[in-house]
Amino acid sequence: MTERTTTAPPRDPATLHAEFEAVWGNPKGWRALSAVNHTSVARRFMVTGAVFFVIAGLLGMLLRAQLAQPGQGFMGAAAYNQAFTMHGTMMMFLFAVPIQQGLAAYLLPKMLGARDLVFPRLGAFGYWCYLFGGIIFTSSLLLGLAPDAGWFMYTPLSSDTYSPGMGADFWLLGITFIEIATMAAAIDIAVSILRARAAGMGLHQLPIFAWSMLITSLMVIVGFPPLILGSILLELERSAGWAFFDPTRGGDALLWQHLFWLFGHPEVYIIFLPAAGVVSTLVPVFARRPLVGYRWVVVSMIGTGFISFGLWVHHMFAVGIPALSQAFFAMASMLVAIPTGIQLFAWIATLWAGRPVWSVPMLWVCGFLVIFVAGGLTGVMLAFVPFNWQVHDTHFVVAHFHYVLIGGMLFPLIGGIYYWLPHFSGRMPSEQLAKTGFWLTFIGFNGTFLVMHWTGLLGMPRRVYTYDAGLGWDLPNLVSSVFSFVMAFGIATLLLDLALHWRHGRKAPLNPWHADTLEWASGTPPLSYNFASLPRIATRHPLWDTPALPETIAAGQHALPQAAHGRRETLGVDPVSGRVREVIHLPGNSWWPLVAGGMLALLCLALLLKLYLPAVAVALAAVAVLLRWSWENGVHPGAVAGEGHDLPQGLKLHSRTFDGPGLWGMGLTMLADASLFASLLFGWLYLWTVVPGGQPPADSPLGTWPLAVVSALFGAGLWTLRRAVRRLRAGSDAGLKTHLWWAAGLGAAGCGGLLWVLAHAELQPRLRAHDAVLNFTLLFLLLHGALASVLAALQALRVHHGHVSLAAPYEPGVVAMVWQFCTIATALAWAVMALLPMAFAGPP
Amino acid sequence: MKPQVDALEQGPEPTASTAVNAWPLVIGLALWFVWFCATYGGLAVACAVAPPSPALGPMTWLNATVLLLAAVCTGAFGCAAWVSARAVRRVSEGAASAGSRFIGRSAMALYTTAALSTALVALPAVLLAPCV
Repeated sequence: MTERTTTAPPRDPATLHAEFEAVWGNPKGWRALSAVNHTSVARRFMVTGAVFFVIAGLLGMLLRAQLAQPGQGFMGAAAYNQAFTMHGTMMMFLFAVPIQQGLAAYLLPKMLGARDLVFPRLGAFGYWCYLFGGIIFTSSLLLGLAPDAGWFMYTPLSSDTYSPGMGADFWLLGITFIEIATMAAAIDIAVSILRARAAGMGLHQLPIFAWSMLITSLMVIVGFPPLILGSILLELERSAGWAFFDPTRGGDALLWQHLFWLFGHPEVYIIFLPAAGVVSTLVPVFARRPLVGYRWVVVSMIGTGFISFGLWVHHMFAVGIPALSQAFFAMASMLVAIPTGIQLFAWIATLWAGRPVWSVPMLWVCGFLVIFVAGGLTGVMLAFVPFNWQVHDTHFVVAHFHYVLIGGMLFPLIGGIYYWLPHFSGRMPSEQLAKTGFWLTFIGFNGTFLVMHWTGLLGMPRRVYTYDAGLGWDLPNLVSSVFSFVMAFGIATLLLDLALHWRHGRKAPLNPWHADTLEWASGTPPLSYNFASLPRIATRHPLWDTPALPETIAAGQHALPQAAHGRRETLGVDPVSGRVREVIHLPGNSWWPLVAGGMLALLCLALLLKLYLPAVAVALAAVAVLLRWSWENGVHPGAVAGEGHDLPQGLKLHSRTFDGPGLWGMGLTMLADASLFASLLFGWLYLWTVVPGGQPPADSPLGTWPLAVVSALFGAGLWTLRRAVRRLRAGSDAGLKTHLWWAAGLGAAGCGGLLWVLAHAELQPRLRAHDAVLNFTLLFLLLHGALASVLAALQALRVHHGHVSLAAPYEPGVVAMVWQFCTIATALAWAVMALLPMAFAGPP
Repeated sequence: MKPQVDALEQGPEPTASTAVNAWPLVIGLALWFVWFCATYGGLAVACAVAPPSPALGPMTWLNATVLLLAAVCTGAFGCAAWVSARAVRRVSEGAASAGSRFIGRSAMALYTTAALSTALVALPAVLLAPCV
């Protein structure tokens, strides 16, 4: 139940608004590009995602026009291959994930009772990477250089032998660049959900959409690195000739498939779970009762998140894996349907037990329920190995995943957009146009893809640009193509409605759907600072239990009701209980995110054009920009206005504690790094096991002891850094700077050791996959060692300038996490790549 | 302007015995994933190094090892679910301990999910030869 939530005396809302707007408002004109406010950045994400959706959708229309009749000469094979590759890639990487992350970035702080995400500049940086990467990738279409090896870029088709030219490079470099944005957003969202909420909002009271985004973000953090690693390795193979996937040099093409699908199957649920969160948010509002089985829905989403990592081989049933191994994945693929089914029953039960009100968002939710159930059932069919073999690479699979992805993501997303439209714009959509758009899309979709199941069962393979008449495929293809245009009209109608409503829609009241969640208390359209004061929330339904909250919030009757100090502040809470721990001081507008994003775009272009010397120069410049940006964090005078004496009693700014959001952000970054390194070790062991004659020599070219010495040096650096942190915790900063310099020196010595190994190991990465993996591992460790050393040296300089001290002891603990990863990774590399071959490998 | 500490209405600091953590929500299924990868990877390595004769069908040392490991893990996850259930019963009723009850009950369900998933995924080892 709601507790008493107001204590501070009310203030004039207009005065308060002016005070907050001065601190939180966006600059005008071209300076608006420096805005980092989550509302602005998230809107940019969503609009950009919608533009990419339209481009990818038009490519889909071209594909359907080509297949409408047998022997059609509208597109040639080369253009068709480029079109389906770009359609799939753009839908998955440039639309589905970013637009949902944008929606989450927009909504979550408002739902959770916070004023912003915890890393606003990181969010802005992610957006610029997404935009520049998307533009670079899409430009390949205009240049006639688009990739054409399919959205999963299987080797050897994507190798430089079979895909010469820049097409595959556009994919590998462009998508890796865009993934920076996805990872940045995932880390920002996860830490914000865990650490920046309203006082008292425990995990058991999180809005269900926040649960879905927390699980999704953690899945992104663990699931994307295998693909990032695979993309780097394949690009190295294409551009530098290193052998990873080439069987003639000890590599294996299936290693790419493993790395891709280790990412690729969780990706399906990364796309589905946020949409499920939207549905779980909308259904209770329109059923006018709380969600039935809140805890079961949470448990189901967690279960789905984990089990989805055990399904990847079901995309590889046709490659010749033993039957028992396939059966493991078949069972896991069937299992994952159970938690999804639990959510479905929870939604039906909520509607059943409630008093549903039917409106436009609910139309899309109902469309989702119908289509997604059908897609889920064909998914269970595909989990059966014999059936999977039968329809492998046919249009049946294409129909299945469109049912899952359009039904499971696009329909809920559009439902969510209609639901939150009054929040975005302050206006209501047109009921008539919205309904017309829905029915055209629903009928068009089913007419296109239901029929496509039969086309597939009749044996039509996917990815063929034309077919002969008389195979029985003519009529179903024509029907699919005609209905695809009906669907396109539906989407066009809905885009028209969205465009018109901005000008002609009637004004929306504050909470037009009588919703229960807190975002509806932040204004329609929202204020730049979300809330003038931060209420205590001890319920899952704050606006149902306390309808007066919007007024008391605007009158400043809750926590932190002032901004005259000039700081952007929100509350930092305990992740589980919601108990307030500190006040998080958020950074303001900055050009650094745009400059850093621009530098990385230049790096991407230089690598694409194979201008390697300029690429090195740009990379160094980018590192310098990032380090300069990091200098402004914490208690740098440019970042802190005022000393924080006006904080609530007992609370400090996070930079004055040992536990700010940066610690959590670094922890999750290291988790992503660990996932990438684990994928690398998997690749090493995979090649060892699978490739005939792929056993490494017992006498490792790395030698027995050099990596042990490097591990010891990194370990000593870590010990030194931790000692400094322990002393800070004990209340002493004596010798702090010396400790940090020692750590930097030990790290530099470790890097020197790695360089020595690289110079003396006589590795031949162009000749042997084994050597290529070793070489890559050494460079990976060198990069991390150098980063750890530079960060330690930078900390020493910050101590010298007074930015880190007993009063501001936060940062060394964050840097220590990098050292920890570096030390463990080096020790593991030593154990697996130098010691293990001595025990199990073959003769030299 | 000062105050606002009252607006937070925090109550007493949690002690070591009343503090709750969320690790039980992820440990069970994370270990399930480790078991899953170990079983799949171990099977691949065993088939490469010492494949049992296909003529033996499922009656091989490899299938026995897979099933034994699965039985041990299923039992361990089942025990963890039972321990979580007992812990939930000890938590007092009331709004103050709602968070503990939520995490305890969710953990119980997730450990049970891990146990069932382990048993079901390993089940084909009863029927199928390992390396064919």
